[in-house]
Amino acid sequence: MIKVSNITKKFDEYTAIDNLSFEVGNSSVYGLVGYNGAGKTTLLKIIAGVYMSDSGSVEFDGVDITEHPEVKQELFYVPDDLYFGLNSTMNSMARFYHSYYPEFSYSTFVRLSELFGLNRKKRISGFSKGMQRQAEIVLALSSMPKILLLDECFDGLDPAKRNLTKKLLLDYMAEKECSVVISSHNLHELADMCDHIALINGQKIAIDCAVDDMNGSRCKFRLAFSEDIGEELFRGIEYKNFKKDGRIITFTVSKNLEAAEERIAQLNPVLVERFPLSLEEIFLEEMEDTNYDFEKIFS
Amino acid sequence: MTLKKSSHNLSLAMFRQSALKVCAMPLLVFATAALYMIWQFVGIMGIGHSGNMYGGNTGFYFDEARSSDFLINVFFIAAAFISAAILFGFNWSKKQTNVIYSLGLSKKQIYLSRMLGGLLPMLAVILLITMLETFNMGWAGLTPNLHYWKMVLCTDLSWYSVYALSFVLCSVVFSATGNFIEGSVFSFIFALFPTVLNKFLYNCAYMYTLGNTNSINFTKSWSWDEPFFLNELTGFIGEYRDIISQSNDYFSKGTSSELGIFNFSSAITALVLAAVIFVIGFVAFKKHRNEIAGTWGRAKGVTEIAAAVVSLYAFSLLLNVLSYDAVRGNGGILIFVVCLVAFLISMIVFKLIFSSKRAKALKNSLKRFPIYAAGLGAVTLIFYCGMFGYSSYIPESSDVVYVDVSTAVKPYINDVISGTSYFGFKDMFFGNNILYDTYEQSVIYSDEKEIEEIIKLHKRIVDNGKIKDSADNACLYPITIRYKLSNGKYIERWYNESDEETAKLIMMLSNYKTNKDIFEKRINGTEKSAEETIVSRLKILLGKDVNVRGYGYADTNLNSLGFSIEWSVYEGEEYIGYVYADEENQLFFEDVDTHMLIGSLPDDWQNYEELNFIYMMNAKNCYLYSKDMTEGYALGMADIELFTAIKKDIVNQTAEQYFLHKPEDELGVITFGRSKTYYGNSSGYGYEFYDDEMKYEDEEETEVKPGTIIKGDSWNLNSNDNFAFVVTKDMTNTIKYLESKNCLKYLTAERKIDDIKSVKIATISELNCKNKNSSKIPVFFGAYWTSETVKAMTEELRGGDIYNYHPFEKIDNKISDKDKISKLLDNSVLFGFCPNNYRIVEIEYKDGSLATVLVSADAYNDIMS
Repeated sequence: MIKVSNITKKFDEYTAIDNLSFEVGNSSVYGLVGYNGAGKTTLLKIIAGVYMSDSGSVEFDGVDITEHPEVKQELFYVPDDLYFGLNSTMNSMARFYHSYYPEFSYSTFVRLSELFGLNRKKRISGFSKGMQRQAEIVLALSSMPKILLLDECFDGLDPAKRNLTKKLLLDYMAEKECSVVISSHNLHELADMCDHIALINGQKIAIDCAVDDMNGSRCKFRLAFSEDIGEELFRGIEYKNFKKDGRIITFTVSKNLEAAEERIAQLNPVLVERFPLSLEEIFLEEMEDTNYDFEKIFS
Repeated sequence: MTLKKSSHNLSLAMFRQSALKVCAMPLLVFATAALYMIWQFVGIMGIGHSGNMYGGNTGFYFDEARSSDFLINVFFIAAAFISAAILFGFNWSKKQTNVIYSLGLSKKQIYLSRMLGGLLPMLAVILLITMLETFNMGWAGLTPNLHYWKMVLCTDLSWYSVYALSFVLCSVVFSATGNFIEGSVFSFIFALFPTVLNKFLYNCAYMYTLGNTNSINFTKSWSWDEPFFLNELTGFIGEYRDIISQSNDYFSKGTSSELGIFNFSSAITALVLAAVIFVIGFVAFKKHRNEIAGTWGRAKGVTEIAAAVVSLYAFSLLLNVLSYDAVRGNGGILIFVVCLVAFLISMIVFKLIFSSKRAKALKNSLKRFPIYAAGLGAVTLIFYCGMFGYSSYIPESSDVVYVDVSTAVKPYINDVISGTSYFGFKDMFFGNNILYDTYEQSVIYSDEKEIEEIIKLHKRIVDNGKIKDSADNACLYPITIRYKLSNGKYIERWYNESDEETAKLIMMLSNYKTNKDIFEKRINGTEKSAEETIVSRLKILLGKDVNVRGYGYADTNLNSLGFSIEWSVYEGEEYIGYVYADEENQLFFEDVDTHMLIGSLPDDWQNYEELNFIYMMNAKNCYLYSKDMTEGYALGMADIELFTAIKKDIVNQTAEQYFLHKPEDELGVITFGRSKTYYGNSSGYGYEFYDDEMKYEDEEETEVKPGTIIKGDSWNLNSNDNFAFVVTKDMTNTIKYLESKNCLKYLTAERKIDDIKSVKIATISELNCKNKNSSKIPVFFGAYWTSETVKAMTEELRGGDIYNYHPFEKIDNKISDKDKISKLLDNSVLFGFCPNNYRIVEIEYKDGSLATVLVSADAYNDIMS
């Protein structure tokens, strides 16, 4: 389990992360979504111990990583910018990681390399960008970490390899009961594999919730009335995005759905339509007051 | 591929990987040494090398390792730089920091394992070389003795300290910077820091502290022959060289030399320094912000320090320039302010270059400048206030064992044509002879009364305080006083006096018995010359008559020269080898087959023959010149009665009579041998002329008929090839001799004022283009040049460069009034102390000949008013 508590990170006077906290349980995939520069990579680097936070702490199973960096032997960080040693091959990198990860599994390494069709004796610098990404994932999974930090790990992967990677990650997580934190600027990429998603909004986490909880938890209502009615009649409903077009009224409700339905019924609408909000719509609604680059997230 | 089970010791893993990454460097060292040893080994096997291989100081350590110590050190520095870049350069790459810092290692472990990965393999290789060489030695049938082990320890320590210091410094800087350029430049700057600090302290002491000496660990001087930083780089390497070169002398002299702790001090200092930097780096590394990897100008702390070092450099550089060329004393505050401005400008420029946010950097520089200014001001103030009593401390005479006093005297304007003297003079008074335009005289006083007098003089100088700026300060009068105390310590102070009276007192030192004794010893000239020693020894050892020709400056104590002196040895005209003197004054003869010790000279040996009074006058014609100067009288070959008379007179002469005699006391000039006129261009290439004909320097003189009137001859009181001095009224024995020969009248001949066309008058300052602060006590020497000489030298050879050789050319103060000229010449001397306000008068005769005399300031002012 990863516990991030009150992390703040400043670059000179620019605050990249401000008092941010969250938890990732075992066998859980935690998705970090946000536009470029929102702080995802910074946050992952702090968790990995690459950057030091100005305040706050990161704990693995209750052990602070700053005070006990040895716990990072169970953590593997796959950065966005990959690095392999000069003239390195998959084999030489396996030797490298074998020195630092006690559980490194050579059989897994061979099996996964073959699964991805990667030549273990070939220089990695000769690999394509996507192949390098695959190589890093192979090395990461072979290191048998209990915590996987993946930064934009699907970049450069073709759809087939992307699905394969997702499947491998999910299988690995299920088998090892590990925690995965995965970041992306694209929500669609994460929606189908994360059980928890957080939207990081340049400093803070704007939304942090379980995907299951979100599905069906918010509804959009469309009501038609026989006569013109005022908004004041909807008091008692915690709605958002209230819109009135003649006798047609739309709004969304995220809390106390049942109470809302009761109140709506009391108003005797001619027509009542209820639509559950998609993940995309929920994020849109949450971020409507921000300058968020929605297109990038949902593209 | 199979993988061994992981040791799970991550530090060890990183150490192992680090060592493997940089193993090429130590392997290269090993390969180079091994190649030499194999060659040596083959030599032993192949030719049955004798056991004196090591006894003769050969072998890897004695021979190869020491013959190229400079290159070895350059290699070690380069190897350290490359290794540090390989092991700590990951801090310049975001990609690499992601990998390294996300491993299960603390920063402490990363730092230590990488440092040790760079340090230990080189140490191991150096030790391996030692083992191999010792084995090699055993193979040659020799048992390593204590001397061998001392040498090995010294060499190994020296090599390793150079590598370790360079590696640790570069590693620490690399791990604190964001990119290769910053890392390299900052490493270079920090490597220079000791030199920069040295320069700063030296120049502060020189500028602001009364009595500072050049010998209190402020050593290196600026060299304008090399680019500024390159000079410092070579200095930096040079200092590393010193670490091992200190011990060279011991080993080159054989097993009798003892190697003390001093010979290890530089290496130990370097290792201690490396350890300190290591610890600083360790602390800094833990706090290092990895996010600066690959960025420019974001390593704030290290940039600030580098900027301060560079700015201090600029401060010191300007201080150095101004200390030599500008005013001192009351100009000190202005100079400090100017240097501070240089500091600020350097800091701003540096930060603008090495900062990512320039406006902020500029603001920060200005904000922090008062702190730096206050710091520099505080240090400067300490120097200015006498470094906590350093300036004012004078030991009690009862505590002094002896005092060594030295000063510099410059024979001035001896050559009106050549404003720069190319040769010195044989000063019989101080007993020195150095063939340069300036000579240092150094005398050790151990007499109690003399010590007390010197302490009084010292007190006077201290009471005078710092010199003040003066437009007439063409020359300052230097004096170094070095006390040896009864507790074994030394106290040394150096002063540049501007006070004329103090300068006179310095010159009065020659009245002391110690000086007189030295002088008398020189005059008597009983010691053998080096050449005589060599000839007599070689006659015994080789069984044949030889002659030697020297080509070193064998004119002073060999120990003080610092370079080898050699004499070519000839049998008749056939060259058969050469003799050289080592630093212990031992003389060795060498030819193709021979290398033998033929004898040694006393520790205080000097080439006395050159100074031998009789030698200088012997077999020379004697000439008399009156103060009219244009006409001489041949007295014939100098005889022993004349030698004796002159010797008695000059031994009894006081400093006042010698340097400060009055015009009316001066009769004329007596010379031995005819004066040649030397002159040369700035590269030192020179010509020799007699006025009438070309002659070889060593040609023996034939007697000029006594009573011959000499006309058309140049003469020079400061000539190197003849001996000449002024005859004053106190020289009663000489006068008596001349009277007995009925030729005193030639010394007192009337001046023919009608022959004079005009005179030009100038101070030293004016003749020196107002260059001030020359640190010499100027002594004037009169001279006369015939029109032929003047013409030959000015037109035929000097061309358009006349101002460099004839400083009076640019003097406008010209007088043609015969009455005034007559008065000036009546009040003139041909020789004497020449303070800044005295006037040098160049006489131009109608026939085009020139002469120079000296007029005191008072006399000049009286006449001209």
